[in-house]
Amino acid sequence: MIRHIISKDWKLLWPLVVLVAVFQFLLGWLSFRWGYFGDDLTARALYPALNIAWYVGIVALIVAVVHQDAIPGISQDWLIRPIERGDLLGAKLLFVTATICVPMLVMDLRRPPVLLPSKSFTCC
Amino acid sequence: MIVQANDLWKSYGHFAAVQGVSFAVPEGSIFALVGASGAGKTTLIKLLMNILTPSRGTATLLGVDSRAIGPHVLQNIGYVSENQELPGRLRVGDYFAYLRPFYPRWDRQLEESLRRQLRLPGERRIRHLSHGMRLKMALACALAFRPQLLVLDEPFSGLDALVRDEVTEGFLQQASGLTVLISSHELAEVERIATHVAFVNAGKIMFQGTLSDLREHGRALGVIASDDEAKFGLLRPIFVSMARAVREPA
Repeated sequence: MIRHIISKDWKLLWPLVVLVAVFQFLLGWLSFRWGYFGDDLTARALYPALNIAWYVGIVALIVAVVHQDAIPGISQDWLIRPIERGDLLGAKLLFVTATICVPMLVMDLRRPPVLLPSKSFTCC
Repeated sequence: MIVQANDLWKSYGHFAAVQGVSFAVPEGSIFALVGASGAGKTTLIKLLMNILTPSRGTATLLGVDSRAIGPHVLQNIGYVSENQELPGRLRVGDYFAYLRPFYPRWDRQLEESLRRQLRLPGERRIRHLSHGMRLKMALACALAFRPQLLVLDEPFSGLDALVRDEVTEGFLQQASGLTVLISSHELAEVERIATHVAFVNAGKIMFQGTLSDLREHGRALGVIASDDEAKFGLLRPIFVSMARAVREPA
């Protein structure tokens, strides 16, 4: 049943998932352009704004997926369907893991060993 | 009995929306809860469906305590409500496909036949459907798995006469042998389909019985007025005295 709930949420939210993934890809690309000493001015200018957009996208995606089968209220469709609450919770957690955490992990694994501002020499 | 309510109460602070309601829905009957808007019909149905918890009293659906209703019982109950929140961005066809796996007894042929009969456009998004179309879709979803019990909460509310007839016809064709609990604010709406009726007023059941019981116990009053009489309020004293007579029977 978890699969069917995830499939439904994907049909509803794939544009937002793609948008967040694009942000994530762009962040990875900018961090590559950044170089060891932050030479690329475009990357330096775009990175903070894109980082914020990415965080906002993640929050929006989590909120949206939870609201597809919202908990408060008495008119929600899932309340009168034969859906186990555990399945619903599991489906939401898996959806978030698959659409946010997995791409994050992939980008981190593919990211070249560059020094981002948070890992610069000044903080060491 | 398919549905049995025993002294059900639901209070919100000092306000009691449902006050000691008891009734029983026999198997195979079409049981109508009739009452004005705000009488407590929807609250009563939500108590039975375990969407709300009763403050006092008990109810059983299909032999199961209403507070213990879970997925296994819901696989046998079709539910349609006028204010049901549906996933608006999903297409009609996708919504049917989403629901199918949850119901082991889902009948694809019946689904196709209902979709054809009610002319449901599979490619249209639910949010782009009219109110009538949404209700027709919800009804098709509630019937396609051949439920033992069908619960309809104000299914005809806000529908024009044509759509109402279409929905009623579609529903009647599939409802033979099915137990139905239906709420409505108009007796005329349910009169031609109900076998049993209960009048709800201010959270209490004022009358319950078969439709023939109602006809035996009730009185019909017909008033024919010309436009001028109605316009100038000449009928007002008559209506006031009629209302008084109903409240204080001789």
